[in-house]
Order: sequence, then structure tokens, then C-alpha cells
Amino acid sequence: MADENLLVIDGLRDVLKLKNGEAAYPVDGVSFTVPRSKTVGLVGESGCGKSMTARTVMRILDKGISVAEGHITFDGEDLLALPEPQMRDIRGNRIAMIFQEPMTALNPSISVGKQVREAILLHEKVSRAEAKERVIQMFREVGIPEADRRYKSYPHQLSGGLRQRICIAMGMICNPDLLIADEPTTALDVTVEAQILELMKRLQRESGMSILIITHNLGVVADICDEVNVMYAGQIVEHATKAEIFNRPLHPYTIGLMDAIPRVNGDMEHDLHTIPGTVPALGNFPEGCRFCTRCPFADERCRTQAPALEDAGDGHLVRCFKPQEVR
Amino acid sequence: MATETMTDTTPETIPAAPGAETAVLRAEHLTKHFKTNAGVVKAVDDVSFSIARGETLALVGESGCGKSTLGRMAVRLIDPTSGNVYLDGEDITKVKGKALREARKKMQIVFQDPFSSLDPHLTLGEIIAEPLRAAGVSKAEQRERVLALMERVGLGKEFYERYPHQLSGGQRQRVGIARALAPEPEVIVCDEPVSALDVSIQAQILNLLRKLQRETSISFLFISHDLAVVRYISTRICVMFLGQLCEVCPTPDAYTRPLHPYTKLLIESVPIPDPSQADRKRQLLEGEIPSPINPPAGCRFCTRCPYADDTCRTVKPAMRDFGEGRFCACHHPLEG
Repeated sequence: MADENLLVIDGLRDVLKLKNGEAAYPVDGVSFTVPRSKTVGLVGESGCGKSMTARTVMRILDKGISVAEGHITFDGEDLLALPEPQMRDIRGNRIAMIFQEPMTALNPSISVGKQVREAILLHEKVSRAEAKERVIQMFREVGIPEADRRYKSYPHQLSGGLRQRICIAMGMICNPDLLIADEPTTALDVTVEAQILELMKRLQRESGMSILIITHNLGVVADICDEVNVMYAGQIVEHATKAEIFNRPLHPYTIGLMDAIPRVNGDMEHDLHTIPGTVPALGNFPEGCRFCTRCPFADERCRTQAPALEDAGDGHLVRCFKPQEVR
Repeated sequence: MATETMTDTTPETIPAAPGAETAVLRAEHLTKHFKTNAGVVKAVDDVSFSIARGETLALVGESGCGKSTLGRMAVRLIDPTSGNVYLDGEDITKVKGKALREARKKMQIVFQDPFSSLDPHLTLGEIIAEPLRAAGVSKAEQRERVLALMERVGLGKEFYERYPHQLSGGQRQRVGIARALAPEPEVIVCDEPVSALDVSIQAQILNLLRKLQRETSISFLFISHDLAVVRYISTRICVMFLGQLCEVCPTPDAYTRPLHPYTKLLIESVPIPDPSQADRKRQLLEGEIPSPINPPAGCRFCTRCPYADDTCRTVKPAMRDFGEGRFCACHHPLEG
């Protein structure tokens, strides 16, 4: 069973019941894989469905949202078919997740040490003292200074960077096979962001875990990812290796995103490239290609037919009738 | 005292911009202390700067460094503990009533969160008209000017009767900008105006701000933590750390030849969207920002600085003039 892909998401479709009785699909036919010991990025703007895809893997969807179609296979097991008790054994143990806002992800009334220890006690039969030792050891590993003392600290006594390290420690404590990181550095300052990304890379080198990172920041993608999936309006519009996506972006949306970011080493003279308009609202996606209303290359076919995600060579997938190679 | 002899340039002698004579807004020795249960937070400690007409001065630094507090003091939204603010050469630090209202017409602010900074009960037309109403502009003229403003910031007429909740984040931020522009101010403080926006929308707003500046001679104080954004929008940069300025320089210099170790580290920390740069050599900053309640003696950056020595730990570095509009407060600047 040594499949090279640890996680396989196949045709995932999440359904959300709207107030007017209609159904909307915030995640609409998403397929991608996370190979073992690799880092895969899920990139897109707010509301594109990237976080919901991750939450579906963890099976922590909000009320009112459910999986309509598709399969999620983790290490050969069908996650969506697992009874909740078995899922609980996997969640936090073999698949761990860290969130954007480390303040809300932690319980404010329990010391951070105890919270992390809970993860061990839940999944393993070890003594409390032994578990505590391991927590302090893990705190040291994720770079928390004065780990002994910090064990007794409460979340509000720590800075954002330290809190995120606690969350990472909590995620790493059971030595997961897959770490899902949802915008792990978005709430942090750049100097701390750089530290956290370095930490994640080091932990991966040491443990061999896979990482699925959700981010809107292409700088983070360039820093940490091996493969990238770009999402737009609930669908993956482009998939490629990191080098491919940056050197040969094909989808007009990906190209637009790349050109829209101001860079510390970029051109200052000209206006930034912009993608006109805004992301279409959920349940209000245009006919045909979902990007057609904002795409400079859209024609009649784009407005009426929905393009499929197709291989443009060497596994570089793109959902577009007119993949651009303008660069 | 050693600290005295180190002062070869006092901060207030920093010119508005190389070659620029007229400062629209000038802050001198601004200080703000907040009393909390844990002690006195020295949010801003003796900061001076000035903004020339038509200039965008960026104020960068990490969260908690005091940049927003400084920006708010500059437009009299909060009163400084000490120090002075001058608008068009006039001291407005203590003005009240009518004089303050007059001053406020000339200085406006755009906030980070376009969701919480617009009154949900008012239509966009009413929101943008508010500063005009306050200035006593007639109803008919209000409408005309609001529509013109909406066009300038790229909002169609159809938005006039709409409410904030009907808009996307980018559109709301355009409303915030239109409202700030309404009284025809001389300076607008933009406090993280694009941080809450998606990348594609962020670019639209940045281009809009640049366009507005080309059209008029408006000045911006642009507060941001994003060094890539700042490079694109600003003329000069003030780098702030723990309540104090550590470097002031023309924008390109901050990236190509920073003087302060903190400036350099801050810029090197920005993730670059280019995989060939992923393995670039960069020094990671150790630790986190010290508490503003008990800032380190001497240089406030000394606990995180790779070059810190005993002098840095005991003697506060003075702001020194390095020529060509570059100023830096450091005992071991990266040049000279």
C-alpha cells in the first residue's frame, strides 16, 4: 500500500443550503493529490473554497455544509466513509491542522502546555508526566524560548508568533503524516512569518510529513511549496509544480494574480496590473468559464461552455480554452 | 551625558523631502503614553517627521510598533502626550472647535477595515456627503460633488443609493477613499488601506491612490506593514520600531542600501514570489518585538540585532544625517 500519494482528493463537491432553499457549491469538483513528504499549496482569493476544501479533509465542516460528491482517500483509506470514532483517531493524530488566527484556535482558559498535552493523552496511552516531558521537548523543537516556563502560560500572555508556534507544536506532537496549514502566517509580521516558514520546512525535513498549505500569498508559495493548485470560484483552475506555475503560468487568472502583486524587487514606474471586477459571489457564478467576466481573453465560447481541467503537458493542468503563454 | 553628545542631528531637522521646502504636515517630538494595568505603554516615543506637498510618506513597522497611533496623532484623532503637529506651518496640536474643524477639512484618514469604518445605516451617497455637510455645502451641490467623487474613485452612479453591506471589500475601500477626498484635503492618512483586501483588489486600490496623487497634489501618510506595497506607492519611508523611528530615507534606498540593520532584516524577511529566490541567503530575525512597557535601554532594537554590543545596550542612538535625504539612528549603521 505504499502509494506515492498520501492524500487523494477526487471530484470533491461541497453543498451549502442557502436560505432561499437553493443549493450552492462552494467547492465544486476539486481533485488534487498530496504526495508523501511534499508540500502542496492551495492558492486563491477569499471565498474561492480553499479553506473549505481543507476543512472537508478534516471533516470539520460548519453546519449546513456537507459533501455532495467525491472521495477523499488518505493513506489508502476512504476518509468520508469512516465512522466518526475512527475519524477522531486520525484527526489530530495522523492529520493535524493549524489555523490562521492562533488566538481563536487556542482555548483561552487552559494553559498552552496542558492543551498540547491533551493531544497526546487523547491519542496515546502514556503517563501525564511523560506526556508533559514530550510537550516541553516539542516546545523546544518549535523554537519556544524558556519552554518549561511557557508550559504554564496562557494564550493571552503570548505574542502572535509564539501562539502560532504553540499551534504548530500541538499539530506536530503526535507526529502526523499530514499537516494542513490554513494561512498559517497571514496574521503574523513578516519577520515572524519567515521564522514560521523556516520552522515548517525544518520539521518536514526531519519527520517526512506532507504539508497542505492554504494561502493567498504567492511569496509563501514560492518559499515552501513543491506543487501548487490555484483555485477560483470553487474550482481548481491550474495545477503545476512550483517552478512551472511561476515560470509558465497558463491560466489568465494565475497570470493576473502574478502581475497584480507588488514586489520588493519589482518595477515601480508602471501601474500594477489589475484583474478587473471582483470575485463572483457564491451561487452567482457566471455560465461557462467562471473567470469569463473578468478575463481579458474571454470570447463567446468562454461565456457559454465550461472548460475542463486539462493537461497542457507534463502534468501541468489548466482549466481554460485559451491557455495563455504570453510570457 | 553620553546620550547628549551623540546627538549630532536632532530629528526635527529632517527635511520634508530632498529639495522640497514646503511641509504640509509636520510632527515634532510626538509622544504617546497609554496607562494600562501592566504599566505605561510607550506607544510612540519622541518621533518627528514631515510630509511635503504631493509626497507619499510611508510609515512601516511590525504590529505594535506604534505606527497607527502615530498616524492618528498626526490628524488629531488622538491627542499626543507631548509634542506638536503643524499643518501648513500652523500648530494645530491644541486647537479646538471651529479651528479644529477647519484643520480637519485639510486632513483625512482612510482606515484598514472597510467593513467597520462605514456606517451601515447610511447609503453611500450619504456616507460620502457627510464631510461636505459638515462643511456646510448645499444639498444640491453635495449630490453633484458626491457623484463626481464616486466617478473619480471608480464607483458607478448606481452605487449612490446602496448600503455598505451590498458592497465588496474593494468597493467599500473606494467609498472610504471618496469620503476622505470629499473635503478636498491636503493630506490623507491611509492606515493599512489594502491589508484587508485580496491581491487582485489590492492592486486596483493602489493604482487608484497613485492616480489620485498624479491628478492633485495631495499628500499621503501611508501606514503599512507590507514592504512590497510600500515600495510601490511611497516616495520616502520611515521605518519604525517599538515606538521610535530607526530610519528615514527615499524609498528605493531602503531596499538597495538600507542603513539600519532592522530595515535590512525587515526587507529580507518578505517572501518573494519567485521560486529562484526561495533559497536566497537571508538572515532570520531572532525573537520577537520586546514589550513597549519595558523597552530595552539604549537602542530598542538591541535585543534582536545581530550587531548589538555594549554601547547599543546602554546608549540610545541619535538620528544622524547620512546625506541625500537618508537618516538613521544606529551605532553601527550598515554604511559609514
